[in-house]
Amino acid sequence: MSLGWSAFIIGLITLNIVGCAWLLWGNRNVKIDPNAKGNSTGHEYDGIEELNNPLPAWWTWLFVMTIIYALIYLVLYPGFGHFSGVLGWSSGGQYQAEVDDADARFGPIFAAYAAQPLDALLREERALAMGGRIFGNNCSTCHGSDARGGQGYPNLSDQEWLHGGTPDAIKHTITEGRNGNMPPLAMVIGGDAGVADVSEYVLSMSGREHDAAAAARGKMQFDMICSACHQADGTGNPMLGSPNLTDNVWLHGGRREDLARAMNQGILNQMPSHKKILTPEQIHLVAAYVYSLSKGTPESSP
Amino acid sequence: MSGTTSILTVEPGSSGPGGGPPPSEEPVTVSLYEKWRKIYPLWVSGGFQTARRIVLVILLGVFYLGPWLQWNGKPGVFFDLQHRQFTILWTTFVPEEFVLLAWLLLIAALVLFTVTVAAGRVFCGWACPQTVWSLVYFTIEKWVEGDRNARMRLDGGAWNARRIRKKALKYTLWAAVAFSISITFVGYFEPIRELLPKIARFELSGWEKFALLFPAVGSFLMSGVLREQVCFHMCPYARFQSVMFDHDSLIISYDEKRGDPRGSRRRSADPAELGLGSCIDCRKCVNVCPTGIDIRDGLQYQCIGCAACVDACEDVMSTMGYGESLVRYSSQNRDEGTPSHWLRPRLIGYASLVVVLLAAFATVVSSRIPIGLDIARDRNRLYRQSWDDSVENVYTLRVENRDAVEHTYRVDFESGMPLVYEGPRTVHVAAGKRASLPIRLVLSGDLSHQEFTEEDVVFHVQSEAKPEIEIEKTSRFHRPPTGEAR
Repeated sequence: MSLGWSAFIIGLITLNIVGCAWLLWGNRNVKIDPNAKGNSTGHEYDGIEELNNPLPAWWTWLFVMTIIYALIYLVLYPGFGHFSGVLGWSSGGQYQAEVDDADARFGPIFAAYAAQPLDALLREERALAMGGRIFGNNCSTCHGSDARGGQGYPNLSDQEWLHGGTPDAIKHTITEGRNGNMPPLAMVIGGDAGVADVSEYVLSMSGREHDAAAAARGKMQFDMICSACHQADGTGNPMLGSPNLTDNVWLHGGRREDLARAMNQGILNQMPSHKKILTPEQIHLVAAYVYSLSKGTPESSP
Repeated sequence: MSGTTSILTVEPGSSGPGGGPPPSEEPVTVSLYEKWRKIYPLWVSGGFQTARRIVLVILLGVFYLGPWLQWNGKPGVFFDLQHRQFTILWTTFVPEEFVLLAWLLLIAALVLFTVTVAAGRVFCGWACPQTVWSLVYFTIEKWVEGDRNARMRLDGGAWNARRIRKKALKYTLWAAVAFSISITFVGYFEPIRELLPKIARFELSGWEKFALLFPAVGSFLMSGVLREQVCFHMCPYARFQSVMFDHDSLIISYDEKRGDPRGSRRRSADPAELGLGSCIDCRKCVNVCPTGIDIRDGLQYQCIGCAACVDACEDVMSTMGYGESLVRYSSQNRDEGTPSHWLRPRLIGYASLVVVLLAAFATVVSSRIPIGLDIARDRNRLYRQSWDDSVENVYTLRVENRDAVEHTYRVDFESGMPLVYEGPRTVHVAAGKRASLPIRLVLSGDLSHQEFTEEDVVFHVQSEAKPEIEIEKTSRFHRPPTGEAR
């Protein structure tokens, strides 16, 4: 707080407290004419007269007590300008104390689960429930509350993994994030005609209805160019994050126009890193939950 | 801030409280802060006071016994703030039903208005917690320190051992009453059978200590020390009750026609010969008044309708042989001689409204079905479309079991579209708990370009054990606009 603002606040506070005290003290006596009927202030509204009867003394003493309370408060707590109070209280400090309190209470629970490998956690109902809640709060916005994803967001409940579905791979994905990067190689594979041919071949790889002649032409381009990342048999490379093109799972859309777009414009997809959002123990639990989804669908989660 | 005289100017010769300053020509300096003059009500007994004490015992009985009630082995009246469930005997209320509390308060207010229109400030004098508790504290005060004269002598005298002893005993008893109130009060929010051992072992959390201390201090101050000051200066009802009176409301008033002119006389004398009315100016009605007013001056806002003056004058009048009490329940019309009808349209209107609302409230409360359903659609993406053009919508059904026993519920749905349900069909929920059920509705690819008029989906959840416990909620099925690419 700048000196100017601090002085402004100090001035206001002093003015108010001193003002209230002066008001109480200065008005403790009043001159009245005992012969005058009633103690009218002279204001009259619809025949109702406003009288000036004395305030009860106990009410006044309560007011005095609030002034004393205010003075004590301003000594102990922040409020008098930039003076931070004798007790050194701050809202940040109180927050930190609550965080420490929570860590002390919940830390052991997290630590106990963090010590167990993900395979063991598959049998721990409470660990999966906790992981499910973390998932609901952090992951379900993109991956859906049933974790089946959508266009651009992988389905976490199936057996297909772009970057590997082992416990370590899942944890790495969540912690560090992932980048999906397919370069636009349409020009290299022969422009629009090449893209159309390669599309038919790719469709044939997952057993979908396709044009056989075009697919044969497309296979030649695929073997030359695409197999570098997607492997010769099209099963993909978890090291690179290149998808398995034979599984009929289409993260970015499986219609012909979607395949064409991938080759023409490329794909840039990102899973954000969560190491600054979740603690390692929380990542461990949510990874267990995600791992459990591909091992069998949970009936209902809390 | 002590004043020399009261700022209240009174007519010379009238019997105002404390009397006024002698008439003078010069303006006087008086204190703007009126020092509180303690009121020493005289103890009185009679028909109305007996009736009041019976009402007091009933009200206090309900308050004190409430937390001890048991229903099915659990506390009968339990306002569980921690779990946000209010249990009253056989039924439990959840926050979603908060509107019922609002209606209850509305009905309570209407009951208050009805009673006021009918019988004036009878709530103040007979049922208000401040009055009821003040009477308890006053009874203790009278028992320890004696009746009016003894108390005035004690307070007017020196601070000797006897005075200290009496005050100490009185305040100790008051503190005991105050803590009995706060413990009972907290007993409504924390089962009293668990609370008492905790107090005995002094194992109380910070909030519990505050909750036990604050009402006790409040009660001690308000009912013990401040008494009528609460009615004068703190209570809003005192100020607006006058707008609910009309000329037929029952009020306590002094029969001026019979009583005036006032004056003392021998018992054997004939008042008519002396040119006097029935009032012997004994001031007993003033001395018994807990708010320190003179009811003979007319109805005042300070009068709480406790009918102490009625019983007091009844006593005196029967002793003098003059007939009925000069101070009695009457109405303005009756006093003025104009035709008075107590049972009038306003009263009947208020009372009917109360009856109707109460009946409606009772019906709504008794026909509540102990189940809750919320449908949370996935909103970040309205729908999920697959390579074969099939469209999925994801829903999370939150089922709340508001019954006292566990239930297994079955989920069904109805829709104008040929949707396929994917997900668990049953969910088991413990009593008082909630469960989340993630499900999907799928529209197959070959149908997804069709036009459908109804896009609503109705989910139906029903208990398998008790089919009468069921609930329906409507949601929607979203899909890309027909004919458009995604």
